[in-house]
Amino acid sequence: MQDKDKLARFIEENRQEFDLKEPEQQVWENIESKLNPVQTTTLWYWKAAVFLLIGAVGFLLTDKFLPESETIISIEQQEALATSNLEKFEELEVFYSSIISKKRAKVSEELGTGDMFNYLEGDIQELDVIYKDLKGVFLESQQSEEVLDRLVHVLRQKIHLLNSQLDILERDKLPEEMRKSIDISM
Amino acid sequence: MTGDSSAQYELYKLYSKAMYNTCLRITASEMDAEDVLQDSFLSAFRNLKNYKGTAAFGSWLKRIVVNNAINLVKKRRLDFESVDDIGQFDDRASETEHRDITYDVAIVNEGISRLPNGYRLVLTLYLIEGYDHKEIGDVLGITESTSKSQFNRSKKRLKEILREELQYAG
Repeated sequence: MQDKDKLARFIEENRQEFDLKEPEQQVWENIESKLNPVQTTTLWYWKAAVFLLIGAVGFLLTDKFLPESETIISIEQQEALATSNLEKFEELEVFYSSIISKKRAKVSEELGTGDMFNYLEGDIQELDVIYKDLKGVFLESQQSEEVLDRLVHVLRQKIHLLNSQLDILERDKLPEEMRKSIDISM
Repeated sequence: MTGDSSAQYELYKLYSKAMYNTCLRITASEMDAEDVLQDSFLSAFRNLKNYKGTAAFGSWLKRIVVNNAINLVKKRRLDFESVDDIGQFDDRASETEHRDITYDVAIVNEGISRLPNGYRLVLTLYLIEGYDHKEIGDVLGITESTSKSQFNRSKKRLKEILREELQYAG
């Protein structure tokens, strides 16, 4: 019994001495890498979230400020365009008005006060009403290229009317035979 | 959990060597021992919230380690010898022998490592891990008396190994 107890007692009394070996460093590395994925993935989520946030803020900032500066420029451009349109209109109006008044003077000179002139006068008055409305729109709000074009178109129509009338009057002056050969376009 | 990382390493440094050697004595394989060590620390760290602090952390961890190691060995089909054959004869035989023997840890340890699985487990759980026979019976799924008889046989076998294989004191 004594010997048995001696071996048993020896082992019991030297328990700690039997821890002779050390685990490989690799074991801790494995433990760490298996514990860390949780941390790295959460870190990953954070990174992704931060990038998204920065991206979104960046996008919203450029979206907010850049187009605004563009609109400021375009408003300025529009204003510049409008003032130039206004100047253009004034020049064109003076130009066409002078032609129109000359033509009208010529027509009334040729025609005197007849029925035909009354018809012409009616047409011209109609055009004048349209012109007046358009001019009101142009000066008050939309000093745009399109409205300006319309105004010029009305003025040209007036001139065209007067020219046509003058053509008719000219033709009436010619002898009977020659009248046929001249094509009158309205 | 991020702040616990260095605390976990402190715990690992403190207990890994003892736990590794426990694993090694149970599994008798460095590879298995390292696997068990790794899994045990992982499950301990992941279940720290279940640690009530009623037992010392070391013994809580040791229970995890021992259970994991034994489960692994059980998977490798550990067979225990039957209860009835208690080694009374051998005890008697060894009574008078080698009275003045002094042992050496390294050689005894080598002898232990040469024990068959069942013997080695019971002997080391009882003498080194400090389990009693009831606890050994519980973790190994055997009766207390089987544990006792296994223990007696394992001591006898160890002495034989020391004497015959290692030419120690004999």
